[in-house]
Amino acid sequence: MADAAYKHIIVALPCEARPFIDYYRLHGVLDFPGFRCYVGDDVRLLVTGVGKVAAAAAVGACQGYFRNAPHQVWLNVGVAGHRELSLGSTVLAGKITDQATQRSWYPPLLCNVDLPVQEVCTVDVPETAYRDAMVYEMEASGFYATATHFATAELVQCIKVISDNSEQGVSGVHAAQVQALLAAQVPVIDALLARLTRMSREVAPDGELRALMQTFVERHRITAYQRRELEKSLRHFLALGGDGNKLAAAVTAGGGGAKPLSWLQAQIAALPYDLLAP
Amino acid sequence: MISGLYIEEDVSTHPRVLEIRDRFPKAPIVTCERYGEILNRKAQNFRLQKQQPALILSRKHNKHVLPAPAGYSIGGAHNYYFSHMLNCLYDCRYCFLQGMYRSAHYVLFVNYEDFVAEIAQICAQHEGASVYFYSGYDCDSLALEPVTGFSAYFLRALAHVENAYLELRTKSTQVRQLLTQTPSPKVIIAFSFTPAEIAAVLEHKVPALERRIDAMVKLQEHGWPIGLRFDPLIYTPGYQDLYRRLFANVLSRLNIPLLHSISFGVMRMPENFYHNTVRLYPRERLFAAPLERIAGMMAYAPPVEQQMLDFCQTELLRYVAPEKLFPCRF
Repeated sequence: MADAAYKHIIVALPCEARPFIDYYRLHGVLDFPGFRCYVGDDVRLLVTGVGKVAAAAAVGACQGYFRNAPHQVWLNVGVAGHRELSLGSTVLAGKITDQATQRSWYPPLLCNVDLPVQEVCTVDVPETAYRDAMVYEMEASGFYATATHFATAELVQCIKVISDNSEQGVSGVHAAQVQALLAAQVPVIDALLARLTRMSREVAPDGELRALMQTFVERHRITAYQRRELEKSLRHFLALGGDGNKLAAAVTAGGGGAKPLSWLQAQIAALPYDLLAP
Repeated sequence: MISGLYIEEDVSTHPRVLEIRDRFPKAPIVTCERYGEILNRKAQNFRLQKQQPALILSRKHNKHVLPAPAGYSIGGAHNYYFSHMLNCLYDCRYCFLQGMYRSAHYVLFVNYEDFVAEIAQICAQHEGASVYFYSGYDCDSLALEPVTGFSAYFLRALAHVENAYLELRTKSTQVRQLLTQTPSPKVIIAFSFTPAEIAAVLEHKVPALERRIDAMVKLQEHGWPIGLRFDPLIYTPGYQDLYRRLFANVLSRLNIPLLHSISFGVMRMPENFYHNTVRLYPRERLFAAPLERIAGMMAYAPPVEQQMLDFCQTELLRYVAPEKLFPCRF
């Protein structure tokens, strides 16, 4: 499982992908199964094709391929329609409702994000009547329902750029226009991704704990139960202010012998508990 | 600061909801059917949400008032609690709420009238006896008072229920509203304290100790009955000196004969809540304390717990009569 925090941008169309491929200098992953996938330093982009099923499948494929840890950032970006909002308006989804099932999801609201929040309705066929004052599009419910299986909801968001409204209908939308609409929003989306990445660091797995676990596991044959106990003990050791480097060095030098857990418990017992210690 | 408002469709035109909407004119508003759709969803991170909580405006449909846990009393034979709100403005690392809920959003039940009706009904069942109702169990009673108007409404509404006693428990300094009201001997404003040194590492976003003491003193001078809650007691080596100084500091500022009650109890947390909380804050030193699993709760080892309770009882008895002292034991 990878511990680095990646930003995953999920789009439906190649013309929605192009501004991000250019901005982040992404390159294609040739052996990615079923979908077009592009990667950069800390960005991964998937072109899912149109519709919620395709979006859900692409997110699943991405998770399977990269085996992400749960602190990854997932952002669905795409064009959408709205009865009144002007073309180029950019909104963050505060509620996503699947029109077919009437099921709703609520991407957690974010403080200090200068984007209006709207209710998004995922439809199976393009909406031309704009019946309610909602943002109509075709991927968000599939994306959100699937991505929140793999990541905590706060890091899964959905941003839509209005490409059609009751005055300029969906039939007039073409690829170059979509690309231009998205390109104009790249700085806004980049800022949102940076914000989500900062949040993700707060819930990232404890790297020191992981490394210590690895040190033990490489040198001692332990059961799944012992592994859980070991993790608990190591967490306790670190919370008490124990020196992970010294511990790792001791383990590497043969510390723990045949009874690593008992040995670790003895190390913990030697650490004084003081809530107020610096 | 709230990240937005979630409003149940059912209460969208409730006068309290309209008032609260007016207070947050720039907050994004999202409608929902029931608050559980947001609060109980899986794949949420309490720690991240605590940094940008939203306010969910909702209606409570049943079980407005519940019996208080056994062992919890400040002198009454009949003890109940109710929660007009779920979750707290503050971020105390020992708080069970962070292990109990998946979400840190605040839920405000705006149908206060239904709570009061149920309280009146319970009081009628115990006619002639004092019945105590605790409001600060799942939230801080006063911290969001300017938004909720909770105490303003409940004090007025319960004034007519003769045998109803109300405890408002708080860590806040939101006492302005209470200072405009005629004090009631049936309403205890209970302040909970931990030593400043401990508060500095565990009680995030809580007003400074001295400011809270000032607020409490103002209320007492205004005539409100004051309760002191040293709960949870937190263990650290040398806790005796920390608590001795805290007791002296707080009690030296109060008119002790007018003090309503002091309760105290050690930190404990249901085991599953504890594990949830440790997952959120794996490096938190508090959870590396000498805790043991005792009857489904994580608590200090019995000798530590007993020593702390005995110490605090002895110290507090130097200031108040035993009948004002209520140790919480579970």
